[in-house]
Amino acid sequence: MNFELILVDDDPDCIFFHKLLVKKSGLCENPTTFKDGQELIDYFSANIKTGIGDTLIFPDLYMVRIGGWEVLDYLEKAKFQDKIKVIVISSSVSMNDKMKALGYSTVMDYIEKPLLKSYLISLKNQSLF
Amino acid sequence: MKNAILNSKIFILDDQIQNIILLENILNLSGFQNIWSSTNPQDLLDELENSDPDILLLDLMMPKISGFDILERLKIPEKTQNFMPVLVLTADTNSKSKEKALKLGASDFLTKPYDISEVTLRIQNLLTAKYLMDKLKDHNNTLEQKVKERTEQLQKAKEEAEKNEKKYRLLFEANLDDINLFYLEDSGPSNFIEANQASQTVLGYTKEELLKLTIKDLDTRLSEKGYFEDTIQNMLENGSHVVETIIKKKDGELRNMEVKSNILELDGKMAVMNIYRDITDRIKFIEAILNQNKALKEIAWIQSHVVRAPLARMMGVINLINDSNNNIQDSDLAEFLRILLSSAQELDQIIREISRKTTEAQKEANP
Repeated sequence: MNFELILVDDDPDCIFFHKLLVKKSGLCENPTTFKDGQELIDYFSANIKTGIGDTLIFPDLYMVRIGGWEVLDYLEKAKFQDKIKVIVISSSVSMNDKMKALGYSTVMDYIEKPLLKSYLISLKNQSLF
Repeated sequence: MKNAILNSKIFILDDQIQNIILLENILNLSGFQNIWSSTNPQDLLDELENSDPDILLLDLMMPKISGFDILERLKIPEKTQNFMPVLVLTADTNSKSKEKALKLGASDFLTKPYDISEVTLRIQNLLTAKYLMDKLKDHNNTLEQKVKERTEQLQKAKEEAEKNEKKYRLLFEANLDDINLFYLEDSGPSNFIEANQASQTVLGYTKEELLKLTIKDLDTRLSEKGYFEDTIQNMLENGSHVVETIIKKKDGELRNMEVKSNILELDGKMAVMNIYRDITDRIKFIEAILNQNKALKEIAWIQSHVVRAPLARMMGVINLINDSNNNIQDSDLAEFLRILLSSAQELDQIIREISRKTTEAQKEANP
């Protein structure tokens, strides 16, 4: 595994469940988890000086406090070049949300929950970075 | 004119036949041909029943029926008949009898014995006067006829105008929108000069009350800078202008109204006709619908996001349990899981349908 995986969701059950799937699929043994967008932004802000490595982020869209949209805005502004890739994982099936999310340069996919193991396996077989 | 005069019909009455012959000769020499004569006054009176001479040469001194008697008779139908000059023939130079004849309607005198040129000249003069009188009368008749026709036309036009006025007045009064008028003077809008009955329901003022007010007493937006000037400008450019404003009614209530203003010329002055329609209720309805729409959108959003989140979790877990890596021996349990998953997927379809319809409705509302 040559990248860091970060899961962001305010639903602890989802965190537990996604973590399990990620491990089972073999995509990542030890993902980092945050319970909202603020924690993620703080994390990046703290590590920006030491340099950011290749990072794959699975953010939820609608979270208490700072949500997925703010995270995407932050990443777009921060310009981490190709270091950051995002796959939005949301329970929203709204077409507007999907189109808007895919409009961000960092977003490579939009997955409607539930997240499936088969998807993660296919992801593992791609060279992401 | 000369021919017309020479063709004049001349009647002569004299009891002395030699006098008649003499006059006829003189007249024939002057070119007159159309002459009737008699020595018997009764013949003349009979002839006058059927004929209308241009001049009568009348002897005064006759036995039985004198010239005065004839003059007396001729006076009666004076009004209906054309003017007929009577030239009195007399040897009597007595001014009394002359005066009497004149009073009875005689036009002139010829004194016997006759002077030939005097006879011709006097007759010609009288005939010319008669000719001109007839012309004048014809002309007057024509004028009178014309005046009569024109009067009738005017009367007809007046009746038509009154009918139209009544029709438009009815339309004006029956209108449910308030319609009022005022002059646009250099100093600003005048008092209202006209209003229909709807002013009472729309504005709360009767027509009489409104005539004591100006638009400044009604339209609260007139205190806005440029509102009045813009309205006038638009009216001058386009002839009319529609604007929404807030009107203060008689009881002080403020109502939203749509005003259609038209500029027009009235009695040589610039005037404005305003049509007021109360749209307060309409605006309230639209606001209520918009609020309901917003609430419905929120409900749809809750359906697609909040309700779906726990459902997605359930579906994920069922998928995990179903994972081929888990060896489920119990066939009942496998069936339970299948039912659970298909129920969850059914619910998911319903939520997706709601979300899709919300998006479509939004597109229709804001294309």
